[in-house]
Amino acid sequence: MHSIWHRLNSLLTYGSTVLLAVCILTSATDFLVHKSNPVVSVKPAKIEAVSRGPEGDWAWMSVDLDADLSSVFSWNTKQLFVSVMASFSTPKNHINEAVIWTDIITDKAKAHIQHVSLPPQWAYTLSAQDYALRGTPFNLTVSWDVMPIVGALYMQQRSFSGFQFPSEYFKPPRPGRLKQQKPPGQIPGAIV
Amino acid sequence: MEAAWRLLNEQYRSLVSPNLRSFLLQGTDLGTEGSLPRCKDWWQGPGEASDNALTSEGLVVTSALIFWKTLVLLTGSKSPVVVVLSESMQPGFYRGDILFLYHSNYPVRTGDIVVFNLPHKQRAPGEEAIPIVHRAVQVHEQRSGGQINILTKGDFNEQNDRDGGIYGGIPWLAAQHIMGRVVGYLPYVGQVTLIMNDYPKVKYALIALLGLFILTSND
Repeated sequence: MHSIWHRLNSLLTYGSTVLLAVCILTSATDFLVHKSNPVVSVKPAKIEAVSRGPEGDWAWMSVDLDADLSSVFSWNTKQLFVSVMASFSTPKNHINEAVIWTDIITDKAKAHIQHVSLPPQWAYTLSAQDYALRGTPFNLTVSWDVMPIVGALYMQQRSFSGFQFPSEYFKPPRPGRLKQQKPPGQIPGAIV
Repeated sequence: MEAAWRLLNEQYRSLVSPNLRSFLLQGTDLGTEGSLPRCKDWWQGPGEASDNALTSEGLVVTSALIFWKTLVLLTGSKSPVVVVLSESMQPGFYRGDILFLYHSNYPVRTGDIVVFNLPHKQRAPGEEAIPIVHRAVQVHEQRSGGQINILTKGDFNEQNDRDGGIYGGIPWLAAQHIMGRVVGYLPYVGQVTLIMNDYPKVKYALIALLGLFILTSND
């Protein structure tokens, strides 16, 4: 029981067991101890376009976003994945959800995001699967996915309702002027 | 009631009795006990007839298998623990991180990080379909039938998966493609799997080394 291999074996086993226990406890603090108090508000600034696509209606919208998510950061938080999502109901689908803007916050100091007239990002389209977007009421939801340094992921959100798409199709008079923002990714195209 | 308890007791005792155990161990001992020299005898001389080295090796492998299969049952997912192999979810998940999956009947909503498989996609012969870990960015659920259409995008990709050609022809993901949702995360631990993936000789060397250690262990 005193060879170097036995000692190394017990050292590694005990060490990894302790490490696993510490990881579980660290993740548990996010759910048992950490209290967050985010202050969020979002509303559409301007609905830039509602038009017919090949398979359904689509819309472009810019939003006003004010989200103070600094209290969501705990000692076990690596980053927040923030997204703004529009959800609505159509005759064909009772649930439609489309993300229109995302951002990644890695620093607590930069966690209070304020944007006025945030343009849509070109990776995301607000589209439906039928032609029933005109006049449909929709909700805007800000959700943040808390990605921890170690442990369980969780997602929280705040929804705001009471908005409605215009009742007629329209596009901006000069489409080239519609500014879209670059999405947060850096790999052109898509890799698996 | 008394008789049933006694019967149970008797059966339990017969299972753990030394006669049965040595009988079963003989079965794992390649048929004839003592005909093959035991590795242990070389190191510590002929001792008492204890468990054969091959049995302990078999026990290690089967207990690992039992643990893995139980995990598959508990999480409802075919592979409950995956190693991140691509950079498409940076800066959240890097190559070599471990993800814990859980598959429930709760429908996918936007923001969920889902793991999906595309068995229909064209592949080089001999290449396996690897599971893809991306985030759902569009969800449409039908009123009649509850069929659900999902569009995903990797956080680090500029395009969503349909425009980027990852879906291999289908416009949406369906519920049957989804293998689970990411619920847990462990950084760096999967680096060993990456090394074994990129250099298969390391994998064979490691398995051979592990077998050698078990065979020559004293217990």
